[in-house]
Amino acid sequence: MPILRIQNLTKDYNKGLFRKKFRALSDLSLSVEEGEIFGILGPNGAGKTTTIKILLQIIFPTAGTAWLLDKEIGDRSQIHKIGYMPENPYFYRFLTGMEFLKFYARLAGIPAEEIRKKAERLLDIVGLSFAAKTRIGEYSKGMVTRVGIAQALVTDPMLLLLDEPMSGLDPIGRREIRDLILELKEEKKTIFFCSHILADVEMLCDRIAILNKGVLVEQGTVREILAAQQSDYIVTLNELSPSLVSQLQPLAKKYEEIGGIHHFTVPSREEAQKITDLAKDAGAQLIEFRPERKTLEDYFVKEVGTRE
Amino acid sequence: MNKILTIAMNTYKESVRNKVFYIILLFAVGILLFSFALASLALGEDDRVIKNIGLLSINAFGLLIAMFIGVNLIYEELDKRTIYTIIASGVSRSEFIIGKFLGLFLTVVVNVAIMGFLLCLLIMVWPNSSITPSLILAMYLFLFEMMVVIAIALLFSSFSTPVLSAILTFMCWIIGHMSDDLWQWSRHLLESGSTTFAYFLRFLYFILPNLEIYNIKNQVTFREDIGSLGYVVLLYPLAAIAYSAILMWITTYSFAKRDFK
Repeated sequence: MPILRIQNLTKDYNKGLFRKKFRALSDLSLSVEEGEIFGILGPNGAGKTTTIKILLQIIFPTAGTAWLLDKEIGDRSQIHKIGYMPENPYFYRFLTGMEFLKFYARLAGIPAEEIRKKAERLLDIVGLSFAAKTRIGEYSKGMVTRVGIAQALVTDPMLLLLDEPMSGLDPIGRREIRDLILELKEEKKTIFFCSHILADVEMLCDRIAILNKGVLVEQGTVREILAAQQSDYIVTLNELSPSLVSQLQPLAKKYEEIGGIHHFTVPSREEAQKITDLAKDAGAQLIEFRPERKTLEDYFVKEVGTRE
Repeated sequence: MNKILTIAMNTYKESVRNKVFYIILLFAVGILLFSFALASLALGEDDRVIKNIGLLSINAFGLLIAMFIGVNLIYEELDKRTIYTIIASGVSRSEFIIGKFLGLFLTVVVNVAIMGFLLCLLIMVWPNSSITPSLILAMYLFLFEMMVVIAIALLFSSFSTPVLSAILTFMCWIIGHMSDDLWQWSRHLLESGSTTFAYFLRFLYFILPNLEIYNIKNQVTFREDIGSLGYVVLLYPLAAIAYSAILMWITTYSFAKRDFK
């Protein structure tokens, strides 16, 4: 049973003086299984934040609906089992980290005698115990993100909705948040997060959905999505005579010579094999024969970039 | 109820940690002390000067807090997007609005209590002056005037910018203090045949609260009759509560289906 199910979700906004209709999200359907990390990937304006905001009823859909923990959005009876951190979080600057978490614990109806312990434990989890009595207005961006995640964990939720959790962080901050997300997965929490940082998504997610201009472009595991892409092959050879190089070069899509080692990139396995056979017959040494590794970035640039 | 009180206490904390609150309070205390200096110059009128300036400053600075913190309260939550995590925590939009309202009202009550206590202290040490029940009633009524002003400020703040909200709230406050004049003016206009504008004034008369009923400064200063105690203690405050409740209902209604972008 999916923990999160989205069905034909559509959101229109009216923009400008003449209230011109603008479609931010178009007919999105997807589902997230319990315990997985699901990433929504897309450039700015793809509809990622819109999706999360609809799920939490911060905005309302124009059409379609969704179910969180088997309850249709609008039914708020299970809301305490959902944690949320917004993009570029901006929290009450006048509260200290400890006061901030106590505030959310009170809102969640956690018994008064447990609140302090809970806040201390959460600050410890996100590594902010040292800043418990410091006002959030004095926190760095990374600290604000961490206290934001602590806030999302106040009710010990089953499902976490994180909007761009690594945005604007330095490499160390990103690494810390990544590790924290993986720890949460080990605790069997389901994480639904959106990002435009491809490396993070590739590293963390069990499955992803790619959105562009409000439309779902692709969904599946990173491996599935990349496997569906036609891959180039690379043949690396040594000890090639200049005449053999000039014979093989026209067969390749790309040719490079680095330190006496020759790299031929060809569009298919058959052509790679042909180059290899010709080189071997001429006495050359085969160093490597492999498909070129596609990254999510390659896919993203190709699929999303061309649709701009 | 727990959620409303949590939001209210947080709003109170936010207001009293706001520098504006302390600046206004400091100014108000300064004016209270200044009334001391003026009283020493006003021979035979010292009691009136202290009470008049004292009540005026409590009223004016309480209104400043109600108005300027009130018009920013909801706007800032939307602008800074702090409302997102509140809504995601299961707080309904009406609980949020009511909590904000109660939190700011508590701030105003604390402000009036501090200044009222200071004024009473000044009166106690001044030889020709004494604390009268009507003085306490005047401060009690201020609270209900401020309650209405907060409700108006929150209503405007839920759909417009702080500057526009402040202007509109201030206009409502001015018109609210001219309620009787509006009626008289419209009567004269009807007699002279200008019906459209007269009906517009009548419309304002009926939809805006009569804030002048919460002002008994002059009666206190000149030791005049303040009217029926039942009206002052019970009926006028109940009218303010009912009017504020209606405004809160309109604010929550307009908030209920709004997209927070």
